[in-house]
Amino acid sequence: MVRKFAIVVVLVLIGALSVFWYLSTPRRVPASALAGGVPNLDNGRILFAVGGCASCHAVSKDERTRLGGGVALHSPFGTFYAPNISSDPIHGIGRWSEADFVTAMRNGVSPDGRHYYPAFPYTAYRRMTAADLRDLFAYLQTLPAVSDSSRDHDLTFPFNIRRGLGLWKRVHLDGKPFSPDPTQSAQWNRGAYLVNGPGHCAECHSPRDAFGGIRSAQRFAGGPNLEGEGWVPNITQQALGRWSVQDFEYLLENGELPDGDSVGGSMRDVIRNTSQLPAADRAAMAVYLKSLAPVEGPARPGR
Amino acid sequence: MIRATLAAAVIAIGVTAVAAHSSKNFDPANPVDQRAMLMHKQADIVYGTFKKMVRGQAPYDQAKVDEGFAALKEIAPKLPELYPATAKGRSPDSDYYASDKVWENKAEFDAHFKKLIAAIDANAPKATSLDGLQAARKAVAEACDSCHETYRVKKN
Repeated sequence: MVRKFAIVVVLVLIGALSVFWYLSTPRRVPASALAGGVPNLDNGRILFAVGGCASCHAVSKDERTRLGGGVALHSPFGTFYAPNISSDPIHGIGRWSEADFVTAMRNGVSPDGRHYYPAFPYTAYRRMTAADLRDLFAYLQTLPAVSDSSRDHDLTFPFNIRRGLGLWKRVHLDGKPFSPDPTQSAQWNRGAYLVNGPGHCAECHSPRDAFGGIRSAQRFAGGPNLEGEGWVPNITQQALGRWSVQDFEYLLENGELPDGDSVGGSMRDVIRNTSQLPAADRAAMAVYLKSLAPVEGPARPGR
Repeated sequence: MIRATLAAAVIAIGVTAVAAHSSKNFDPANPVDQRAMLMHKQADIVYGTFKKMVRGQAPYDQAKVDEGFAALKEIAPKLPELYPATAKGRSPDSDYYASDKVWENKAEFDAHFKKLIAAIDANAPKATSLDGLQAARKAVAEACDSCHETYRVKKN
């Protein structure tokens, strides 16, 4: 009797593990998804700025094209260390193909088939067009090789089981590209693309659930600063109703706020990036941000 | 008559309560409140008076510019000593507070004030026209921002 029970338990476990294994399979982007054509390095440089790659992957705030990695991103799951994505063939992505890069950015999967942690915001980068990813990849390969080794993440159990991310992705990664809204202007759509795709603003400005997924109903409505102390503000019209489009533009240009102050904390490095964009792109982002419907953010604990 | 008196009394109590509450916890002799107050004064100059001129929202006024830089020169040197290890609190009058990192990296933190004073001293003489003010203000604002990046935290 006990033996039969034991056999049933083992079979159920094998079944469950097989289902888990299947559901968590890393998916590669097929070659047919690539853009083809000649890369545009100027566009790549703009995407590098709006994507904020240097903010996590550069060796220091001043050496923004030396992408040897090392920035520590603290979280409730442990500490992530941004890897080397320089053009170094051994320590960086120098040997990657374009398909490897697109697979990483859209699917969060490494060239050797492992899941990346969403501290790397592929949940936003997945919206990027194939042409933009081609251009960004080409631009990254023009940057210097840095031979620093990437440091392993320091995560608590069970978050250190990479395969589990496959299940997380089933919930939080819909694999859809950016689809423009035909009822909106080209400028609005450009802003929507930049903010939700490479800009990945919602990744900081939204509250998250216990497994670190964005609570989509409160997207952009702010939340606790996962990296440490303080609060990341609500940037929907609930909080910024009095801002004009120009106020948003000024913010993205130099970090200044309409009430006579200036952003601090992590936003300063964001402004280092957005200040490098063409003014038209900042204007587009401003138009889009001004259009965000008012959303009530999560309750803030006492001050 | 009675109703009017009652209404007046309610209003008087209300006003007193609000006034008492807003100044109840703010103590200019407390370094935490003092530094909040002085930082706000600097912000009013750099991100208020100067900003309006640079953005064309107020006419360029050399007297106000000189006054502003004089005030900045007076305030900046007072700031470093307002961060002793005994004064780690939060001011009720501010949306921000000093991160614990201030005291974990005191030498690096103090260096930011030296940079601020240097930026003010170097750029005050350049603010003799609208263009000059634009560049001078940018340089001073950068000094403010570079410290705030690491050491200033927004309250919940």
